[in-house]
Amino acid sequence: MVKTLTPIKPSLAVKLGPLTLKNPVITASGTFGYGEEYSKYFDLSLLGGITTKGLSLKPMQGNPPPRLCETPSGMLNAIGLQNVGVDEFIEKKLPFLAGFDTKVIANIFGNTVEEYEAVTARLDRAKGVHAIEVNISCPNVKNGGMAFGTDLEATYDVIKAVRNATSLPVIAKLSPNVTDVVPFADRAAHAGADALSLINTLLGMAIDIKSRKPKIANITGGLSGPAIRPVAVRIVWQVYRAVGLPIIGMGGIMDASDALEFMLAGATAVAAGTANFVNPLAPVEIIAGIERYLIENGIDHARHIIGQVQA
Amino acid sequence: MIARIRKNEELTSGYFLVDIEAEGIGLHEAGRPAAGRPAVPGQFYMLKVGQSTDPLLRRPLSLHRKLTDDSVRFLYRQSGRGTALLSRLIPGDELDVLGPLGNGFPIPTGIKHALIVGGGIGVAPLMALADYISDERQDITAAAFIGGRSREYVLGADEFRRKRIETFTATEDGSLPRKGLITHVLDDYIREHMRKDACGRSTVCGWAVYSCGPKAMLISVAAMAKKYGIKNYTSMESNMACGIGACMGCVISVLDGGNGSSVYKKVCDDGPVFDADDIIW
Repeated sequence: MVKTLTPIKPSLAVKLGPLTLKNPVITASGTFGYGEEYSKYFDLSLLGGITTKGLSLKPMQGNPPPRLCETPSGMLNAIGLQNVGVDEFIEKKLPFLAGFDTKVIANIFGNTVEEYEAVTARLDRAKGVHAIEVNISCPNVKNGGMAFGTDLEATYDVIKAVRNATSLPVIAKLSPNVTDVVPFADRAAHAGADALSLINTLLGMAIDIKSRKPKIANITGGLSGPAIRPVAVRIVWQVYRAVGLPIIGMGGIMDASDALEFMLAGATAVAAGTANFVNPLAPVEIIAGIERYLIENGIDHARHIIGQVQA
Repeated sequence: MIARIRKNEELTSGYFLVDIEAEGIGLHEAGRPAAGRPAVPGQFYMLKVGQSTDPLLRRPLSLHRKLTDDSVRFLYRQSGRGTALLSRLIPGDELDVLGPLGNGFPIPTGIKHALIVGGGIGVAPLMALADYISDERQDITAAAFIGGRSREYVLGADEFRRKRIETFTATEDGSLPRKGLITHVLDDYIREHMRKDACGRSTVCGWAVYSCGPKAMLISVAAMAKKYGIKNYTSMESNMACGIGACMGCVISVLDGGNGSSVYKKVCDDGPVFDADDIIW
């Protein structure tokens, strides 16, 4: 008698410290708005999580245009954290997101430690936020952002302040624009972060040789897309080996094989960012592709591939 | 959706017409606002040319003509690597298309006469507007004003005339009359036709100017329309990543209400068509 093997449906659930995701795929901050735009393309409940556009205490206009340009297998942006502000987010955007069966990760930033703290306190009281991602790594604003993320003590102070202001899981989003990310990851861990997001964009620049002007008004911007993927994978791997916190890996993930590369390097979850701009269905295709890979390789749980690179 | 190239031909040096087909490509997609309704003139599509990550982003192209519910035409200028790749596609080739997207040209109630003003590749979305007016709006008359560097770059003038739209041209080098800027032709036209009716109302009430083209032309058209008290709707261009309102990359500065303060609005989903009076150039 021939026995037909029906593949067992693998479990995709992963845990970012106290935060459990039904699958490892999240959308990266600033690439998914507040979810509404993409809800026209697929059911947001399919996602492991949604990270919102960065939120500040007061609404922000962002940088003057032109704000973006394309580069080889990537793009430079200097949006400047344009956002509706935390209060309008809670009042007008969060109720919509709360209607979906997915984890809502509120990405926050501030100009001072006190601002980070105040934004956190407001989100802590809001219904429907499942975690706070702390952006200390935006390369496109004068104060705050990367100024915190490239200074070890400032990193500690911000994460500590956020930690003390909420009982929600705290995720530190770190900058790749430092010589070694590991000490920063370590400081974030000591300050009480539950997980790390790696990586934010790489600082870059592009020039129009006809006009001899920078291609974006901010002069420099954040580089994203497949061009940065090897850098991101390397940083995830380095931090995974050195620091005990779960990692959300991101940087140029376009499809499931890219996502799997990050998980093998040590990421517990992954985020699709620039991919959302090119293909609104990218996150759901990535989820399906990860599941297919697990089935094909006889792996019954997504968590079993985390950090399994044979290096 | 996956669309197939039906025709892709060079119209004049560096300018191409491409026809693509896919089921329902001329209609709003299921699940999208206005699902099943036809694409509106002034809307655009995002085209992914090739499977490679270089170029990475989709290319926004305005609807030039809705041929059927299942086929649309674009007029594009080969200006970079994405459009160069597009120009090499042949009938039967496939490409991934998102759209129609954006708001389209408004035609407020009471508009009786449309002045269509295009420069160079700016004719692309205006043809769709001319199609719509001549096919579906017998209550509206139109006049077209098409400018270009030289005669080869005055695009679509014959098509406008075929629709029995009175069409004026201008070239910078005089290779097609009249020599000079199309905005001068427009100015003369408005002054010549502006009358006061018996009640003292200006005949330009009920007129609207629809413009698309180089920024200098748009600024000058906007100033002229304001001077004569005519509404001006203009289709704007910007670098875009997503085309669906998420990336915030394509913003332009516009006036926010009457208090003179400005806000950034997204060309992709607040536009691409704006009231020219609101744009901070």
